[in-house]
Amino acid sequence: MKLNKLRVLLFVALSFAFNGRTVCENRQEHSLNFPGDPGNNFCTRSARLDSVLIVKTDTIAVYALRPIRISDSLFALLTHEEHLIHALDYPEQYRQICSLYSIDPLAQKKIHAYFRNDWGERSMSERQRAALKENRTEVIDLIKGCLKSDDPINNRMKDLIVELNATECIPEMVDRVKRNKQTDTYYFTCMLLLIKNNNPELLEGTEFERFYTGSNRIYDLRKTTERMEKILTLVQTFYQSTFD
Amino acid sequence: MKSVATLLLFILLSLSPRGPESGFVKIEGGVYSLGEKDHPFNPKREVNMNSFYISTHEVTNEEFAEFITTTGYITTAERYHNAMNFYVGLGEYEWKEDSTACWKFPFGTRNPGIESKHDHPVTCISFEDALAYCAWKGERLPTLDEWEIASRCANKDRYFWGKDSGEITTYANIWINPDHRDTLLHDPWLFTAPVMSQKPNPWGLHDMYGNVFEFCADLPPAFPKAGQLAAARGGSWWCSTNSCNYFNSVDIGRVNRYASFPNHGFRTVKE
Repeated sequence: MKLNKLRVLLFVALSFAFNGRTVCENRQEHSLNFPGDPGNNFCTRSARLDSVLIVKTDTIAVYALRPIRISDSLFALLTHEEHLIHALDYPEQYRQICSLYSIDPLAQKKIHAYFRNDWGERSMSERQRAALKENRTEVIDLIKGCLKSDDPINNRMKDLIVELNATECIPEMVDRVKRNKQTDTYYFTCMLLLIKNNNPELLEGTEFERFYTGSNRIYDLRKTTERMEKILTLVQTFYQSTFD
Repeated sequence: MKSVATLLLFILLSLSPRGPESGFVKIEGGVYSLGEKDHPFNPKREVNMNSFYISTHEVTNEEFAEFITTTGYITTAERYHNAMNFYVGLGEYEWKEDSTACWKFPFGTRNPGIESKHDHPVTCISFEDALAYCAWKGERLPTLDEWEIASRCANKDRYFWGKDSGEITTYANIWINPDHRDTLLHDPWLFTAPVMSQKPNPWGLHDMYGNVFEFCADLPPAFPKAGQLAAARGGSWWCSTNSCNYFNSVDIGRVNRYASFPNHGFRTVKE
């Protein structure tokens, strides 16, 4: 632990020299406002974050502004909680925003075959995804805690749920959909999980059969109450058959 | 060693058949109608613009190589190994990290580089790289309004020929397959095409739509304030009718200013 503290402090000192920014300035600009269960919010629970961790996450914030990443050695020091924060709040990879969906006024009335391209110009890098997969069980527990809250959640969370094939989170997502019927799109994440798991009830002989598969694939469907209900019913059935 | 390699590349490109000379078209000053009703980033409005000169084509590999050889500039991708790559079979909007990709090897060093593409638009360069080139050249990136005026040719519709995209492949190198998972349809230029190989718009400007997204100097007021954004317009070889449709005079794409993609490039403006 002493060695780690020394390494991080040295690293921070070097980053000051390189970047010329103060820790306080970074914390103000890049506070880790990650919503979750207020009683168990691993992002804001300062008792959980000792001085080393605060410094560490500030160093991460410094690098959020630059086209370089934190070193592999510092990346390896992150806990699984910090890996999740790092991936969701400081995604390392780039995206380009040229999606019709992001400005399509009809987008809310459609079920799309893939994620809408509307969560910013960054996404999780391969090493971030790999780190989360390596700690899959712990990360899913953290995700479940966030899903239980009513706070808005970074859209990358949905991407991560599908990436991890986090079917364990289905009850929390379904519950969240039912609590936020008009605006929440977790039913869509549920659908992608069904597709990822080749759910025959969804994909065979239904309007979803050609959803981004086959030579005559389709890319969106009109969002209807019936289709939403079908997705929720199927995903709950899938969950029960998988985990019961 | 790297500078020697770049010099050799420049010599090789220079000995190849010359690409187009960098011509400019004068856009007359005046009042222009821009934007589109209810567009979240580009609302309908009129602007009073001074005259300016805009390049007839996107900056080419040959032109960029001259800049590199003369200045020794190191691009963002070469410095930080943070470029993004593409290959057929990826999902929609999916790009892959490639630490080997850069302007000389837009699709990474496992794929051919630009040796036979002196007259293709330079790609896998960041917004910062484009600014550096412009500073060296004594030119600049077009503003969003300048780019749009040049692309519209005084037409008030989405496209300089009208309301729908029916004629797009006459003027633009775009992705003609329905998506990026396969290439069932024959596409004469799967990635970049030589600049000026498509028919120009009525004002003599080539590839305003398609080929590469073109960086613009400023950002729309409605873009997110936080972050490190750069605006890019016109669509690219990657854009398809099913996924994107950004090959028009209205929409405005965005990307991180340090990002390098093989479908981003730029053209320049001078006073």
